[in-house]
Amino acid sequence: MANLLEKASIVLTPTGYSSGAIHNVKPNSSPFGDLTKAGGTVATRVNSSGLIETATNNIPRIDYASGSGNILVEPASTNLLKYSEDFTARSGVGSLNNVTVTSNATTDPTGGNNGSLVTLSANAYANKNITMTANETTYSIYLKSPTVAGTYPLNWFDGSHHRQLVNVTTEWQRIQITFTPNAGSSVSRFVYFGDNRGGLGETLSSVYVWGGQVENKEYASSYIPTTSTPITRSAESYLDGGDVSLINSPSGVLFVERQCFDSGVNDRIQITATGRNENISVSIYGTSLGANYLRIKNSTSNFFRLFGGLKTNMEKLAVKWDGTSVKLFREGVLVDSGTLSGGFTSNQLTEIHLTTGEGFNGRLKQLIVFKEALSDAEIIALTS
Amino acid sequence: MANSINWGKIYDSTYWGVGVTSNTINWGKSYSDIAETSVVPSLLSILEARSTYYENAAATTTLLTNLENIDL
Repeated sequence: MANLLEKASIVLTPTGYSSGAIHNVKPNSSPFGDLTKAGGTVATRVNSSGLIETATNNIPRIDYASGSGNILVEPASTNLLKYSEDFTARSGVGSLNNVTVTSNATTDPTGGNNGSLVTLSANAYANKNITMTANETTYSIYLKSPTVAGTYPLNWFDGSHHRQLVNVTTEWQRIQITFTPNAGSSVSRFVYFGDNRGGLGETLSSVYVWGGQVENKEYASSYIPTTSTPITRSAESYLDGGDVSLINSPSGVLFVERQCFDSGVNDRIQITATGRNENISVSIYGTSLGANYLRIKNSTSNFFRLFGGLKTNMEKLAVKWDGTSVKLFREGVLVDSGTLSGGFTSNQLTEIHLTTGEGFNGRLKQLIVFKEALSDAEIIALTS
Repeated sequence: MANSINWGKIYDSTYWGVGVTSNTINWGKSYSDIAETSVVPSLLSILEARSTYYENAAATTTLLTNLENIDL
């Protein structure tokens, strides 16, 4: 009898890392089977103290924006908003009308002193020009009330105004507004960090602001600072983990606890054959329709089954394959089972990838591989 | 795994010696010989030694301990 920690051949959690690699807790001797980090320019993360900080190129990011530490894997994104930490009026960048901006007014989310105080008088607006396409777009900005919690008016404009109230507290919060601008190309487009012309009944006329971002995404990715031009953070990838000695092809278990970011793309975490060969693979993935799926491919068949749930939720998912038997588990429940024609032969599965082909982008809390088919009861306990 | 069986439970909190697993005092040492100990500290020590950056250890300890406690 052995416990699951003893039985696991690979255990990855967000704890140990070095330049270019995130380290497995198990195995604790070579071959370690660590995932290699590739790509990714300088990027930011929320550290364990809740402060935004910069991670230099090729350093994995453990991010605490969700409240707990996770391995952060992000696609490329561009912050279209210029001077993301400067909210004063600039010709061609943004304008103020009946608005007072006091720079360096308070501690900002990095721990610096670059939070700006924005105060709206009557009939006021404060905006930044944005070149927006007709794609899904997310405007995010950090807001904090200098007095009490209340509501504050933001806006985005694509030929029409889209004013709305957001809730602001006395702590820094990242406010996110997702929308799709119209397809017109000739109109001026703006996002507003204050606009009280709509008569929405806001309770706050002053807020601290910091860190604006506009990107062509359905969600706000990690903060990208800008000055005079939009800045792009490149995609990052984690590849080539595992080892033939750590994976038992004929029978085993792959378990992940993860959350995908974008419901509209495929996100695969997978064990493959050597050479990132997805034609022989076990893949837990989120589909472009937002679902959690299992795909197993061997030399004779493709096996697709649904885990259920939403891939944009942080969930525990596990697949057990044992010869031709396959079982799927999600959040403590055996959700489906089936037959994989042919199964796998020895040493077919050798590598682990978070990112190859349609790679995973999201938060990963744990990834565990077992070289044996655990009992159903063990996997139910594992995923509970 | 922690002993939770009635009187057997005293072994993870007995007064004698300097701790169940570190006891070197005569017969008290017998407790350390039979005590079940966690491998989590050892795993994390090795991980830290080969990592340039090391953090979030408390959360990982919880995850690993949960795994260790699944012994069906």
